[in-house]
Amino acid sequence: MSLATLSAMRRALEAGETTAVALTEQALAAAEANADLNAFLHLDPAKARAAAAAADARRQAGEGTALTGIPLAVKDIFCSAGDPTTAASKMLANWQAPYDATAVARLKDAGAVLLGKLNLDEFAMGASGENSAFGPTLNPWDRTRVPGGSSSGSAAAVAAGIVPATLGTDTGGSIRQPAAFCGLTGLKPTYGRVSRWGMIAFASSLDQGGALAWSAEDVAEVFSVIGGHDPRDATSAPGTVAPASTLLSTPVAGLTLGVPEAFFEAVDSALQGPLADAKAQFEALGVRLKAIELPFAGDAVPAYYVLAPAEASTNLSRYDGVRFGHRCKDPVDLDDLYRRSRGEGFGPEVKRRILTGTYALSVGYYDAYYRQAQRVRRRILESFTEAFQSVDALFLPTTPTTAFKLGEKRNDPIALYEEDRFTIPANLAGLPALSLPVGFSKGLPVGGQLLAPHFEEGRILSLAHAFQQVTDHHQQRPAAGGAA
Amino acid sequence: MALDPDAIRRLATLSRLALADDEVAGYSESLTEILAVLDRLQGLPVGDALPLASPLALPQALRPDVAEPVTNQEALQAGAPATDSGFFLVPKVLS
Repeated sequence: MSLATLSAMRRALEAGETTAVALTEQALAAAEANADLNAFLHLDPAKARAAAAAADARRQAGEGTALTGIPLAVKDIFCSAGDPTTAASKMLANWQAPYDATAVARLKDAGAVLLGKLNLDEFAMGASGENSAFGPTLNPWDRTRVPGGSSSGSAAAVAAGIVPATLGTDTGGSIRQPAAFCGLTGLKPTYGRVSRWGMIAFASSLDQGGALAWSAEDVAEVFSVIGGHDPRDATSAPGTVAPASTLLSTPVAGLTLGVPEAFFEAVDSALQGPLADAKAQFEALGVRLKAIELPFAGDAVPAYYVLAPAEASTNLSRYDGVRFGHRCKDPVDLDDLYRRSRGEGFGPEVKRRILTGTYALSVGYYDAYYRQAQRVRRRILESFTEAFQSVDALFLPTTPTTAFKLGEKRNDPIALYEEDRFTIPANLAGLPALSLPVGFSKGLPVGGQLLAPHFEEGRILSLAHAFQQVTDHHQQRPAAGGAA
Repeated sequence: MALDPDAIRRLATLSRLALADDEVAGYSESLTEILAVLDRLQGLPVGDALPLASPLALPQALRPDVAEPVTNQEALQAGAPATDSGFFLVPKVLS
């Protein structure tokens, strides 16, 4: 029996057909067999085995939860006590987190078995996984291609069958784009839904933690555990998150799905067929489609690439070679210590964004760039609010293309920034957004995206779940070895 | 607008980033291209839209003002490059 999904593992654990220890050994073996993917930056077999044994004991005592004994892993941007936490940066290469991020603590409290920390673009800045200081992650569907980013390891580890679900973060598409490139379902919840406590900051008004898994059902299971108010995060939204069964239970027949045609016209022709089929499939489920326009959403890329770097340049000022992280050798004075520690510790893309952000915030340019981008952000939010007056949710492409070749866009930052053009609007407006597999093009997965009003994660999870009851795209698996 | 190497050096100084000459040349080229994209913002008819800093219009969340142990000094300083007796060490500031 294949135990590739979280739900299947849970059922087998509940029926006593397997144990957490057995599932963990299976996951560790799969991690070793797929070491070439470079999905993990840190694997901790001893800790995982101890957690698995504890999970089995907990289940035997009748105190298990849905996640008790399930092997999972988290993007290495979440702090986990006593573990290396690097954000894939040389700056934090030797740093160990002194505490657990709230999302990590909630997984541990639920009895999940954490295998280790997953690769990413440095400080979550990238859309290919190639910006990691510890080498790129490969796409399990085709090892000559990128898995997407920045949650590159989070996507590759699930797609390779190592773990059934992972945590990622999404500032401009970093959960949804790799989910799309790797044939997975990925949820970026409403801004503030998952605590940012212990999540290393990139752009604080945009960053949001979430989950990747094969199906909406499995994503809902993880989201219901990690989501909900956290008093330690001042931007945490109030309220709790409903159980997974409730999140998946919204009836979809009769819902209206807004379709912004301009987005569909902008995708590669290879994606048109699967996306058109997905629209038809939603109609077959009784969902009404309505063509809509989203003024200003097409201008999200320049707004985002002002706001996110501006926030990053501020957030990353904390890496000064004094309190944590890399310090240069033999600094002659404090300024030299700052400049060389940062120059040596940060990678090329991180420096590029710090410089861009510093420019946008500097005297004389602040109004023209930063303020103007904030005004565009307001118009984008209003444009979604207006759309949701007449539709229940939106459907659009996740990415303009399928997974591209490693190195193809490595030296072209603009091309990589444009990768995010369909995902960024949801971050600027703080909306929940989910990518789900809608088909394949030349053997590579194609993703479609569902967006809902603030706090309506259940609506898009239900739409995706209903879609996955009548389609099998989410059940396709890459061939072992990821032959092209 | 082009960002020449001197402009990049000024930004690097403001950002406290030591850059090699070849990095300065590379960033001059790439930031000039990026600015051309960002300049698309200038012509957008945003009218009287107020700047939006955060997407959720939530009141500032406050929690009870109760001291709570989060982690200890030793654990926090374990990751510091240089400490002594609970202090972070830096190069001499005053000569």
